[in-house]
Amino acid sequence: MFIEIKNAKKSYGKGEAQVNAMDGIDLSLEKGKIYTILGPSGSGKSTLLNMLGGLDDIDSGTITVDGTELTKLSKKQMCDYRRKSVGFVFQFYNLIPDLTVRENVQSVKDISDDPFDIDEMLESLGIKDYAGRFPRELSGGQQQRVAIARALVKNPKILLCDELTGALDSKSSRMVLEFLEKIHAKYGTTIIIVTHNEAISKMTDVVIRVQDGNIKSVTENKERVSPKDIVF
Amino acid sequence: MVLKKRYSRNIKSNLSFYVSIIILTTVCIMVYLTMSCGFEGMNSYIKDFRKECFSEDAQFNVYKPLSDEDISYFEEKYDLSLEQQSYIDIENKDSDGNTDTIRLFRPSEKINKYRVTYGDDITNDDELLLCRSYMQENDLSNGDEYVFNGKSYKVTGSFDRPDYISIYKDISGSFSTPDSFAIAMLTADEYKKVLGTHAEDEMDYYSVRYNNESKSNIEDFRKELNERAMVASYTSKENNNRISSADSMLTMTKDIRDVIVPIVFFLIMIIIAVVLERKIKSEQKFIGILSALGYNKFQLAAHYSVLGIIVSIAGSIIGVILSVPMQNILIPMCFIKLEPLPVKYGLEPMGVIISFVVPLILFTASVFFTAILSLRKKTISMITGVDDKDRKNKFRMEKSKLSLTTKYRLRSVFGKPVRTLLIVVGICFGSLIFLYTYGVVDSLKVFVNESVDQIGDMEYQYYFSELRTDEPEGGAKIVYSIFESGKDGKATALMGMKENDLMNYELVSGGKADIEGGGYYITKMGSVIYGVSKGDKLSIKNVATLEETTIKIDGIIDNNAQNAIYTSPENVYEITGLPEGSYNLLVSEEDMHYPGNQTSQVITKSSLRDQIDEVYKMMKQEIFVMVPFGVIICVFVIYIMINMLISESKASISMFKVLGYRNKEINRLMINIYHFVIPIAAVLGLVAGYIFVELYFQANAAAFNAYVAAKVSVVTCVKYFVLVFLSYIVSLVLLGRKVDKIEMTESLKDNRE
Repeated sequence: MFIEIKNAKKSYGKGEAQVNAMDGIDLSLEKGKIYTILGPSGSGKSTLLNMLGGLDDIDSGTITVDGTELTKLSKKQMCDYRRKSVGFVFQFYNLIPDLTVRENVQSVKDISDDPFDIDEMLESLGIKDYAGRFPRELSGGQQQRVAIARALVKNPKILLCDELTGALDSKSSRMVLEFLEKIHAKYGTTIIIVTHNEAISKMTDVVIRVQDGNIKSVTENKERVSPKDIVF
Repeated sequence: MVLKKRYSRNIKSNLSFYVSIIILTTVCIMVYLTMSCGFEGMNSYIKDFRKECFSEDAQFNVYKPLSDEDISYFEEKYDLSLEQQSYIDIENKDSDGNTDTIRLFRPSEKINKYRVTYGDDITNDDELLLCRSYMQENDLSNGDEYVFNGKSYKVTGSFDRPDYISIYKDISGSFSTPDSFAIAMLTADEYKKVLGTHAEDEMDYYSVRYNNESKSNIEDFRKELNERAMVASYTSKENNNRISSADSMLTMTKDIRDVIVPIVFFLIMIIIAVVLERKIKSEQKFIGILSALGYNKFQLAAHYSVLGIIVSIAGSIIGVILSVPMQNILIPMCFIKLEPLPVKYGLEPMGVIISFVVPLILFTASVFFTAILSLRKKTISMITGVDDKDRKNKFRMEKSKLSLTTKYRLRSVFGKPVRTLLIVVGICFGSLIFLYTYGVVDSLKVFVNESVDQIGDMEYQYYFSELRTDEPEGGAKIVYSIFESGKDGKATALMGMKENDLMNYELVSGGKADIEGGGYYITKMGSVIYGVSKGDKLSIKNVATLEETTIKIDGIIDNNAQNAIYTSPENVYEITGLPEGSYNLLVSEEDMHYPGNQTSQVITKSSLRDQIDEVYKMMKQEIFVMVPFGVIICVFVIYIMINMLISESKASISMFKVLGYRNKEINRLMINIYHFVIPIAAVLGLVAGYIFVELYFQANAAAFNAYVAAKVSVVTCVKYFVLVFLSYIVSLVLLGRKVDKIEMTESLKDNRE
């Protein structure tokens, strides 16, 4: 398996205020597929994404990505893991405000071993004309496309998307998802989308439902729907 | 209000910022109170001392001695006190075997009475009083035996006279030399015994104290005095450095208290206002929510103002407490040229009140108005974080070939001009204090080595007590007369001479002064004191006759060590009415061995060097006290600004971590952005420091009785740059940990930038 999670536990707070965000999760994910992690607020879906991305440590259990056990990595090795293997897209884009569109993407390219061409990336995402603009000069949909370009330019093994359409209108959301599918088709990147929007799950290969820190179900989509046909 | 709970949380989460501001405030209060207590304490002591011991208003020498009847006549007619003062300079071996000059005074009865400063008064003929500085320099304590003039005396204590608050050997001296010169007092009977063997060494002059200080009264007295006794010299208390240096030191202390400290306050206020404005901005969502809940602008501004109150009160309390031990270290440095006096400083009530009230009002007001200004935004804009105004970035650099790192740094530096400006101002100010102390020492060092030689090649200057017409065995004859000039009536010497090899006639503008051609040439020091240049006119008033003459300055002589005007002897004879062919000053390379009773003053170049050397040594000690203040200001201003930079860039730092950037790479890109600003600020600070030292010496040329040109040595420059860069590096190292602590999950929080 490309990603193996075994008995992963993570809790926040102490005593009565303790919340088990991951309560002994076991999960296996294949390479090159699009996954949706669905669940209500506080179900632990974002925590799961953070653990996969090496942003936070689990309390116990193991997470293995492409043969590397993340729990055994040092701080520096974890940094290298994020640098080479993972691309992130967040709900609020998290672009660097003092860098232009091109520079935001270049900031990742500069530290990557085998990056894609920036112009090609911007072209394919339809934002090449905005390359010299600062994030605040773009719409939400455009900013999210820049965030996707930034995440993909390093040619990551996994693309992790946390509520990537959460701050967008339906038109922009559809557009962003179309780009995501296009990228997946072109590069075969493993994509994991965390969302509470059922509609998005229809365009993915596998839907993982989480509740109260546990995996409730893992369902394969027999017939994937094109983002164009998604009704938000 | 439940918001009160936020104060401690806010302070805890921004601890380093608040600690830094409190430390800066503490330093300010400490310096202010120390200066204030020093000024008030010393000022009231000196006032009381002068009043109780009947300090002279002027002293003079006459060619025709005054009789007791003359003295009574003048006292009655002009409502003044007049008394002849006498002393004997006795060469005496000290404990190290060096020959010191001990000036033994005849106890006076009406003017310049002495006061025992430490220990007991003399009652027996085998008892002696010495000045405190000499006792300290020679490790003498009250009760010790001291061999003087071949006899052993018991030192009962130390004393001072109001006309010797600064113990200068010469009235025109600038610096005391406690290792080789002292004043002493014996009983009247014992003085007579000593006089028996030193009769020809006794020096006399008259001191006058005006009970009616009206200008016309004084002028009438001086005119009649000159008619009756032919005044040889007249030195007002303003022109007597032994008296006036105390006033200069007091003014300087007051200036530091009233000028420099407020500047630091102002700097801190700006820092607080800027940082708080940004802090409020970072909390705009929270403010927007409170605003939506019904809190009004005033309530919210008042909430933030309390933070200003907390900082000011904490800084004031610590500052007031620390100022007590600091007084013992700092105040003696302020009055470095004065004799150690038993001044009780303590905490000055008005100073303490000001220390609490001023920062409280200034800090609170700056915070309140900053908050009010920040709260002008619409509530919805604050909550959503969407600005209703278009922000345009002026540093797009789209076509620039610069690296991403450089572009980012340039935008951070120039895109946040206030933050950058504060760094530059902070470094400049911190360096000002550092460079002031080192610059003064460097300048004095150069002055010792070079400026003293600017007077000329002569080693000895003999000022005669009477006019002479005989042909000397060597040296060059000069006829001189003291004149008063300028607003303050500062004394200058008009010197008439034939050109000779012993004096320096080099002009600042190049070339030589044409003395014998009848021109008037003022020394550089004189030009600074009176603010005159070549071609200007200068009015000078004869101190004997009070006649005023206007002369045209034909050039400036490159001489920083003397306040004098050089001209031909004929001009001096004409202006003063002194007989042609007479002289009263002789300069020579060799010792001419004139008896003590023929000269009123003998100045040697080596004694001038010794005096400046003494101040040089004392100023070096001052460095150890003053420099830490400069360092603290430098370090904390840089620290606060970098801290602010990190706080503001938290989300971006966190995002770079998510993207896989290592801490070193993040530091290089985001934190080390001031690398190129620091050298610029350091150079500006150096220039500002140099100008400050120059202004300091110009303003104090009269008080120092020497114009010391500002110099900053290469070693000082190196030390200064090392200090600034170390301050910067220390700040970066201290804050490096802060970057490390920023969580990656920070970027997952609501970030709408």
